[in-house]
Amino acid sequence: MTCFFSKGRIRSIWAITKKDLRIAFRFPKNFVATQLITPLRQFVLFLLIYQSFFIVTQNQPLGYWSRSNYIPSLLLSSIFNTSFQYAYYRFRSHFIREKYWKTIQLFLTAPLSKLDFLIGSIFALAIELSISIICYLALFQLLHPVSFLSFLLISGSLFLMLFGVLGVGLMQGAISISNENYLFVFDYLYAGWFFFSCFYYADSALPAAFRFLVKVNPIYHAIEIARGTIFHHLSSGQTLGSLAYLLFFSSTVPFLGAFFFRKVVSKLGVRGF
Amino acid sequence: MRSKPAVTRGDIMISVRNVTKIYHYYGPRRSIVSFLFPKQESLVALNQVNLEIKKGEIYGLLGPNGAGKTTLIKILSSLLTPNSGEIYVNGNNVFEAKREIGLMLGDSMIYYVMTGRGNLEYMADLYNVPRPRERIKEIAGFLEIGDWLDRHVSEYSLGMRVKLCLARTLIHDPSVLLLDEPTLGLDPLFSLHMREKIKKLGKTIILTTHYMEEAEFLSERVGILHQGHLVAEGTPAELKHRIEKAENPSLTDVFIKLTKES
Repeated sequence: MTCFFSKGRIRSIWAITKKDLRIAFRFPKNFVATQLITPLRQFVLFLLIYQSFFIVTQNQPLGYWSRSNYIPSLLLSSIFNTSFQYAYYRFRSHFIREKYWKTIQLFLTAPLSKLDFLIGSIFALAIELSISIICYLALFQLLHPVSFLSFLLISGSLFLMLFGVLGVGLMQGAISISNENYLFVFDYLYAGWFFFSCFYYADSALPAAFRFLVKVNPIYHAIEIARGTIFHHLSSGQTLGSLAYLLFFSSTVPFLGAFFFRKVVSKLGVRGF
Repeated sequence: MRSKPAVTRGDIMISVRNVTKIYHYYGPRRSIVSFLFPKQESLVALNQVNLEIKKGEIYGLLGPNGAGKTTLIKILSSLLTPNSGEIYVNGNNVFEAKREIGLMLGDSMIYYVMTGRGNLEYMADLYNVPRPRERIKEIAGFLEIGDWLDRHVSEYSLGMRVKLCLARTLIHDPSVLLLDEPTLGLDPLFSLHMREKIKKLGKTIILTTHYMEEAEFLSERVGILHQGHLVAEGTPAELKHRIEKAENPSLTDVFIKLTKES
């Protein structure tokens, strides 16, 4: 049995990362500019909404969201939302692109496990996102300084969220290779998942009947762990519980994604040229 | 298919047993109902195909368009799973033998947005090729593409792209090469040059082609696929003897006669 961190395995994983980065940075100015503007769009939109809300309600809080903390909260929200969106759609966009470039076969025929591919992709995604994450986290730190441990907690929950969402993204990637006709299912899933992740609002803003969907949503737990560093609304037990749930999500879904991918692609093949 | 034990004779490198592949696709959509709920139709791409290829043998796979040649190549490279049948490469199933297989599908499977060297480095890393720089230099020297390696593939001519594809296929020193129409679209001189390079490799090769002279020049044995069936197999000389023609039948005559008959 080969060691999990064998030199050969690390080299294969790094090959995927390096290739993704080479392609991503082939138009560097456009790439960096896009990375910076994407979180800003949602941030500004909700900033205006919250500002108006607090003016109209004469500073009434909405859940834990208040006049004093909504700006750093929105910064965290936009970082998590952008990362979620990029991770969710990553394989779909990459696989469709590589399918029409006719390079997808390279990775499908290589002696590389889908999990290693996933790990290579997450490193590339993390490096790509690091431009916006570093800028926005630095801004967050300026507006709402947090301890190093809190900073680690935010980064850790973000990374775990990315890994889990990439697992779902890999399932979507399989469909994008084999039958693009059913990709709409993942668009609908994204809409629901986004809605029940409460990136930009408290769960109390949702109808009571739907709140259980928020509670079972691991993305909500990821953002809640991060927001806990601002709101201080979670006990250490709750933080640990959320972290354990997130860890479970990010350690099981990628395996399911890899299994689903292998089954679908080997059965249906590459279709859609 | 994955858990079957390795069972092949010592001198057999590739063994294809009763392989059938059926494609399902959506039929024509001529009304709103059929547009929303298209009827699924089936196409038998390969029907009970059997093949055995010896170590070091070059096997030419001929057949008209749509005969199933590329499907067989894709199954042999693990890109597709057959509906039934078994395939072994060097005694192992294709999923376990990925490292031993090199696949070349025409001039595809290279990144145009990267340099030739970038493409080869990527493959060398994926396959954990030891001393990749030396290996790239060696392959580039053999295929005479060294001067072009640091240019973007988008600047390459078709001939250079084909050479790069072959270099990419050879980078991990596979024992089996699956070459799908490796000289398609190349001028006669360049095709001859490529054929000579392929002949010098000394590996087990399955080669699909529409050029009869290429099959004759390279292949020790030739198989003719037609509508998913392997309708004939043998050395080019054996196949020529099978048709009744007064003098010097060519492989093209054999091909036309056998595909018309079946």
